[in-house]
Amino acid sequence: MKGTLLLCFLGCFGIALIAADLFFSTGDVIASKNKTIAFSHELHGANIGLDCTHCHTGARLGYKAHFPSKQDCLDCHRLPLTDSAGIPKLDSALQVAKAMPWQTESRVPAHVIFHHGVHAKANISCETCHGSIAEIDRGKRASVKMGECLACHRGEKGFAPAATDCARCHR
Amino acid sequence: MDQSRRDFLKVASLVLGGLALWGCRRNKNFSPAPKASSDISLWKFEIKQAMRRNIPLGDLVPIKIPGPLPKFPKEINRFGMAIDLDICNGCGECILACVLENNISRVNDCEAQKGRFMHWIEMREGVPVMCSHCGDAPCEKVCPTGAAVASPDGMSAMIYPRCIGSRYCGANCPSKTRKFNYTDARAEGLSAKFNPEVPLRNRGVMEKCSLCVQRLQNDRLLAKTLGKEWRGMGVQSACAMACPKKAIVFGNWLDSESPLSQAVRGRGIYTLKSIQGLDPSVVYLVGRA
Ligand code: SF4
Ligand code: SF4
Repeated sequence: MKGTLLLCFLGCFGIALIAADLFFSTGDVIASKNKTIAFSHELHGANIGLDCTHCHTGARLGYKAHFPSKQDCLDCHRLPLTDSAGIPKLDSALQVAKAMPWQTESRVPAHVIFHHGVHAKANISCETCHGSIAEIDRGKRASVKMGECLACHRGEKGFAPAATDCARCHR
Repeated sequence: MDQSRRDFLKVASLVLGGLALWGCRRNKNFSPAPKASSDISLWKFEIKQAMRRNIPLGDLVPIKIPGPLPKFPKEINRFGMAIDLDICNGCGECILACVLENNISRVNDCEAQKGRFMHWIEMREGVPVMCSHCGDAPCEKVCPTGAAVASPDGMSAMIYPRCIGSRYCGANCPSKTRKFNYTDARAEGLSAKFNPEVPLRNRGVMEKCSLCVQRLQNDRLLAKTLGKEWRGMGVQSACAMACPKKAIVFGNWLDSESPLSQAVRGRGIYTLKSIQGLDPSVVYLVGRA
């Protein structure tokens, strides 16, 4: 009896977790009051062939990969780029968007350092940790456990081995 | 008679037990958490308070110049410091710089009365004393979780999330430079994040001078990203930078170009007698050799 109850409880909890995950992972959108428009990595990356670092500046040399501002979007989107039917919708969304349409909080804890530049230098692609463009568009965010960092740093994932001393990444 | 004596003992032990429990209470359960303040004058005041303690320095003994670490014979860097006691006048500016660089929290009045401050630098008879980053560190040998661990760059590192607060390391450190977070500084409003680069430590975690590891890490990552050999040239610890007399020199023992190697040339190199023989990376300079 007790066991069944516990199972029921755990089941409900699990469903709630999955529901929460589906609800909150909606991909990247330019959000403003009523106008919301999805940002497609597929369109910008795979189709147009823009490098990730084009918008996520800092990923090649810096510590952090940054998010583009509205100005960065407008650098290309000031004039209609195609005659696609979506362009007017995009323009009106951009017009009312905030100066920094995307805000994220890094998931790397304060006692860990992750330097994008040094990983880029070692020819580790963004996809290795962030997943494919399709996954990113579905709202996946990189979530790397220390064990995965270590496996790669030990040379078990096909990249050259790197430092495994605690104080190289922890502070 | 017997009966009343028993009653008396009962009541007395209950009262005593109650008083003991009252004494042990966690302050925050009884009084609202004070508002956190990042007013630097509070830290300055505390440093003055700490500097009024009379902590004996003990003898200084001459040692040889630190060389490559036997644990990491292939490494080309070993960072450390030299504190020139012919120049240092014990002003304590280094303590404040270290506090602000490493977000060191203040302690409550109860701890302050016991003289237990968190500052990573302590003035002992006017001489700044911090962790010596021993090459053969006794603290690392007794840590049950590996939170106190040697770094190939010459530091004796602390990995805070691993620390379970056994305090074995503090007991085994002959120079007593490790500091334990007895109180929850954040809950008591005693900590502030002056430097976003350094995490705040939790209650129950040991801490000590890190040789400003964050500065070394940043410099190393930059050098590696640019594909340059890393020797840590140009990196300075916060205390070395803040010293108005430039008595503290930070550098790389294994690099003859390093300001550290230059500063110790021809000088007498000393360490605390208690850690003589443990191959410290942080040393004192006195007179000519
Ligand atoms: S001085 Fe103390 S804390 Fe520092 S490395 Fe030596 S034993 Fe460890
Ligand atoms: S080297 Fe850095 S952490 Fe160590 S005493 Fe100096 S300022 Fe503090």
